Amino acid sequence: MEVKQLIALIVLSPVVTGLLMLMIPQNRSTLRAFLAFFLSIIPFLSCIALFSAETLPSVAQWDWIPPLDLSLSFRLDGLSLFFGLVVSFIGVLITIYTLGYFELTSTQLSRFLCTLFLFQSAMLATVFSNNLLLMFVFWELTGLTSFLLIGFKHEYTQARVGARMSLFVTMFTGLLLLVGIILLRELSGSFEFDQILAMDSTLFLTPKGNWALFFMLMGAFGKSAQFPFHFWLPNAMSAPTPVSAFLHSATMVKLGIFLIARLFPIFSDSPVWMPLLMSIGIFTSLTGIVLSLRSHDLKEILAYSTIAQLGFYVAYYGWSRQSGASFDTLHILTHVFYKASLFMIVGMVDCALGTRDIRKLGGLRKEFPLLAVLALIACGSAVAFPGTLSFISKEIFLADLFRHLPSQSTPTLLMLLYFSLFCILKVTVFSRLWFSVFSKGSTAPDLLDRSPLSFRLYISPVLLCAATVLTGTFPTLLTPFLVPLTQLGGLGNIESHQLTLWHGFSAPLFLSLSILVVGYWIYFRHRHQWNDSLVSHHWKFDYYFNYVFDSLSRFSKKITTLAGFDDPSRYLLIATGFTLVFVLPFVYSIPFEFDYEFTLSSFILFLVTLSAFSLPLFLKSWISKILSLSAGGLLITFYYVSFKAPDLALTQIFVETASLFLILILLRRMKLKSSNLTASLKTPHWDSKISLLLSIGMGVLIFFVTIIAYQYKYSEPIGPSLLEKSVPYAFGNNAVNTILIDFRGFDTLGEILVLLIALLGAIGLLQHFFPRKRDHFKEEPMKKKES
Amino acid sequence: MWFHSSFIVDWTVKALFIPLNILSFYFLLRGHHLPGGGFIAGLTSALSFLLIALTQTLSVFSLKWKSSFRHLAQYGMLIAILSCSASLLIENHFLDHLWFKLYLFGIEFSLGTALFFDLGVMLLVIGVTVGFILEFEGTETTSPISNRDEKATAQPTDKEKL
Repeated sequence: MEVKQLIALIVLSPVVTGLLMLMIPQNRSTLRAFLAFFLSIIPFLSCIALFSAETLPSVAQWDWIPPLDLSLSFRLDGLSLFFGLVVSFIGVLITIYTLGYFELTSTQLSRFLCTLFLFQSAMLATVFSNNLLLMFVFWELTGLTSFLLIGFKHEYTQARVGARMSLFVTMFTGLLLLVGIILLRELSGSFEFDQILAMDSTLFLTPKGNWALFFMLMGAFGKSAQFPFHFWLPNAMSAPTPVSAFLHSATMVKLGIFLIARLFPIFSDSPVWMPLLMSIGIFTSLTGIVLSLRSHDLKEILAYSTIAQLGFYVAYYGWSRQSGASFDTLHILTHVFYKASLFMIVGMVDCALGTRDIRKLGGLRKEFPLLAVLALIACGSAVAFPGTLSFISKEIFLADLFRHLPSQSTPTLLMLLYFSLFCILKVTVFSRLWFSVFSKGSTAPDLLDRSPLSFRLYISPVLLCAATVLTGTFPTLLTPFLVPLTQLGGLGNIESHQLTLWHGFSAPLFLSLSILVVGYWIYFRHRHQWNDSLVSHHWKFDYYFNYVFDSLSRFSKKITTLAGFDDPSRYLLIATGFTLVFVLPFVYSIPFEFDYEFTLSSFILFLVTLSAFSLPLFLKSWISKILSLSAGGLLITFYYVSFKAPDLALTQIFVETASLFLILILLRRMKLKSSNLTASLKTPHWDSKISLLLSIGMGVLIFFVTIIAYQYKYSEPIGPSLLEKSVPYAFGNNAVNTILIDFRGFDTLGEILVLLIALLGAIGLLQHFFPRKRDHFKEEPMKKKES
Repeated sequence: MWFHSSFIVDWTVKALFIPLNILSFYFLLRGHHLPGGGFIAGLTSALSFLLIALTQTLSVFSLKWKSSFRHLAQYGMLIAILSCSASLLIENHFLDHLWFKLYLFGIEFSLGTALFFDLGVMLLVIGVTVGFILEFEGTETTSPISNRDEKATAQPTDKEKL
């Protein structure tokens, strides 16, 4: 198949699968499970097919809006393909795991799978995007779908809070990313990444370029939970475990790292690059690992250690400014392998025992021997025990550090010190995790009385752990996979190295062995004290986030009450008053001539319309007021007729009728006697005089605006050319319609979208009139023992 | 309740229902060449539903139809977007409408994706206009204007009298 079709398959097939999940009837749960599994393999197979295609790196492009320089263009190179392979592969494993995590007959399963597949599609599209605007759109879509996934158990406050927090943080930083993208476009004149890449990178060394880099990095930091934004990730742990394993360890949080790697060839010479990335990365990394040591929730421990690991990648890209980031894909791959499997294992512990508190768990290796072995392998991989892939990755990184130590001593020395400290603490964290859950102590017997775990839960962690050990023992297995990726427009040159297990007796080996020993010694020395520690709220930042959030709403409430905006009629007065004061003098200063020819018919029409509109002033009953206003609206139709605009006349008739009905039905909803309604519609005396004044002022304003607009026309009106184009280009004789659905189709699309949003907004606003239905929600997916 | 339904009004509305919808499709189909189009067609059809909603008790109507109008709006949007992206399949730009020639009964018809775009607009307008009203079902208040007036003009509801 062609590259273009494969890309379309990768991006679209998860969407189709997701929608299919919703359409399959509830009682065909086996069919649904099989379909979910087999269809989830398609993106992975397509990625492999792309990988074996000869024509890389390349760009696949569909035109979208050519006049605006927008196109659906996707870039295939080593980096995007690596991330594509990882996301689609983990996607398959997560699908299997999900099918074990939920009961197959669960009503929530289809909704969950649908959102998961939609997320996967957005994620794959983000990494393959070539157009930066397109990447931004998909970037935000991953944030949106992750919001839905984090808040999946939306009956729980914690889930809602976590979902809201992650949405706000990632959307806010996403907007900063947009600012950066626009600045970059100002500099380079293009949104296409391959064109920017082909330019001379000294072009971006201006102050403007630095700002572009800064804003884009802020976007990356938000997504990857780096220091000022690190607080959302632990709060996102209220999501179901498949989500945590997929989004918050393996894929979505890596998007920030992906962006940094993307920007590396463009901006790595910038003076901002190294200091900013290294300082933020190192600080986040050390903070994260210390917080991870002090947490007690298993998922929280993993979340903080993920933050720390992401901080390491950020610092790594900052440091490798001159040396080139040659093994970045290998480093990222190791983390994907062990963190995803650790999350899955923790999820299984949660499923089996109903708790994730490390203080309540212990001695589980007797109850769940296979789980204990898997966890041992995953933890061993996390601490880079020899025989796992992480060991090789760490050896290579340490060798890199030692090689560059003489040439650029200060940053490398800093990096070396930081990395040793980070690894020591990591060893401590994961020793604590494994020993206190699986080896030491015992679990309360009432927790152990649970149902056995489904075998489907075991498949994915077994595969991941096997992959870690296999590639760690025989690293040459990875060579045919990693070497082409780095050559396909990746960053460094990998061919100078050979992936081997044994590097000989060298400084890196001694260093990593001593890291293991020191880390374990720290754990062993303080093994009785870990459970007493707590994370201070100063480090969690939840407090500050909530404070800012609450004070924003308090502030707006205060402003609203201060201005009396609770009352719509007063609000209207204020709005029109401001318009008059600011616009009327401006309009009045424009010179104009009044050259309208009165005819008898137009004069009669004017009189009739005027009387229809002024009748409500003298009528008593509110229903006759509304009717006479409506009659005035209908009379306006004659103006359209006199200007030969039948489409507008028809629309005016229907809009007028429909709005009359809407008003009648809405007023009926108030269940009032008409006398009450009339009474409450009465305004105080002074108010009505002001209203009259404002209305007359508004009329004068509109009059002037109309006259002036009529007078100052463009030299070439757009109408005749559209009339000429109507038949040859749009095959329609009705120019109004061809403009609406063809020439200006985008406007119409936007307008109907606004209508739909208005409806959804009304649904949201009126929700609080209805009592919430909570009872149908099931608590935990696996707790079926009680029944 | 100040809105008494009468036999004549009820049956006039029911009799109008089908002609109004036929008119609406007529507007939709002729829109590309003569005055009409998706928006007008949607409003015409929405009027027929609003008339029914006005004569029946709103709650009865709402119970039956609330979610289907929401869906109508969503499907309208979906149809509009799909008809716009149909031309992407044959390597054209988004929103380039495709045209086909059909020969039925010896007469040449031209059918384009533009018609489906208009259909999407029509469905969405129906869904939003009627759906908007139905969302208000069950939200009866005693105050017509604002929260602040609620305290001042709090009246006993007419529920007892109903």
